[in-house]
Amino acid sequence: MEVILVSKNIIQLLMTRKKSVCNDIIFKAIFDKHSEAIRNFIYYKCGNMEQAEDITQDAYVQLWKNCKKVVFEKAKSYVMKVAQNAYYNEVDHQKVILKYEQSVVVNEKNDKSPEFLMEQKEFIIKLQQSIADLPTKQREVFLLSRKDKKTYKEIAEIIGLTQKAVERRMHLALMELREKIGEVI
Amino acid sequence: MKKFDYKDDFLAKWAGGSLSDKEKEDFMKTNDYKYFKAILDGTNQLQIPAYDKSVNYSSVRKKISKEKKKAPLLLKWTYTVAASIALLIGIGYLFNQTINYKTGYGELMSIKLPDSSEVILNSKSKIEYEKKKWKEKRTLTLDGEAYFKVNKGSLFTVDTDNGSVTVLGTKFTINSGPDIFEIVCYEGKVNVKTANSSKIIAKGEAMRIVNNTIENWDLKQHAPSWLQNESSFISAPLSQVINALERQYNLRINSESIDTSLRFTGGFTHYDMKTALSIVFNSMGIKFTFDNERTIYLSKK
Repeated sequence: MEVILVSKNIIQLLMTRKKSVCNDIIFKAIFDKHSEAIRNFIYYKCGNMEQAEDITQDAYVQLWKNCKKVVFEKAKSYVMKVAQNAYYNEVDHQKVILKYEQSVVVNEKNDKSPEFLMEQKEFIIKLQQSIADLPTKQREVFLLSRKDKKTYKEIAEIIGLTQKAVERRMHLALMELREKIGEVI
Repeated sequence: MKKFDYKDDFLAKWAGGSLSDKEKEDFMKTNDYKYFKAILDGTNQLQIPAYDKSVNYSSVRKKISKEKKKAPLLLKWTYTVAASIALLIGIGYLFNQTINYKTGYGELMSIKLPDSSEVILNSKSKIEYEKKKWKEKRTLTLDGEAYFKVNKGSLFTVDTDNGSVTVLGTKFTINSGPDIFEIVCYEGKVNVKTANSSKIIAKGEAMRIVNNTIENWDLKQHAPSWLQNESSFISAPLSQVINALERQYNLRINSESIDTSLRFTGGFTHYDMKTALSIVFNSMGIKFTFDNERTIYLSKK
């Protein structure tokens, strides 16, 4: 049993050594795997989707240009870093307003009374605004967790904090939202 | 509100599902629980704009091939020229950054402006403003329908294709489109200017321009009904009602064979398309038939 495990590790090691980022297939695979998450992350910060997609694309262009220097394992964090730097340098910040499609809700909850639906809609509009008004640091944690379904550990890696600090921010974000929403329900 | 005195990561643990059963149970008994639950449920209903992987990937590829081509061909001085041009464009861009918000069919959006005035956009509408100029001059352009809650301050101007509306601080709606220009004032006073008229509308008053004539009426509501999922009209031209139906339910309505200058008083719901169509057209003696899912043909009964 042990012998097999060891040999597997060796094979894996040999395979990863060969994986250079300067290869169309591998480059595309890195793009497919991580680009959406990076774009969302930048969007949660700046609130401008066009800009978020542009920054993400440019970060991948940088990766391609430096593909000889970046090892495969570091490719994701490299792109993330470049995108974040671009965000700090060039982005003019806007509000992050997520869309709310009422038709979806209506179809799901046809059995509810109009009063209920009205209140719910008012609540969602209020929530939308409250998320937009969160401090950026809290908003990115909140949305990465709730919309991208990332664990606190994964978020900690993305923003370069400890897991504990991420959990504190998440707690604060929820407290803040609670306060902004007031007694709407 | 009672302050919440749990540990500083309690809510994170709760949202992440790592509380113990006992802790969870105790939390569910608190007054705040339903609010936190509603926040998570509500967030699940919000959507992030869709992502098109292949479009984005081909943009990356295009950018890469562009960089490859230009590099060896250019001379040094061209770099300097290019850089200064880029810098000029860049500066211009920063100074004129336009911010816009758009809604799709059946969507509402609430927007806070830099002075914390509030705008609620009805479906298929758009606002735009220049960020850098906002401090000197509160001016935005509107296409479609929106409700404004303007904080007191300097002159606030809404420009539309049909004319402009200026206020100091108040609540009002504007509906501006190809065949419609309607202003309803819920609080304070607004000044409406068009190419050939200027008029002041006070609280509880409304006006619209149809075929170059101005109509006025008084209202009883305190806020537009479309905030509560209903569109209501007071002797409005049928064309306006049809336009609102199209915007709300993503429809194309062919009204060639009926008289759209007829007037309609009443409202329709935003919850159910069939009911909305019946309410409007049955009461007007108009028959509606579906050509396909999104296209409706109107005829006399």
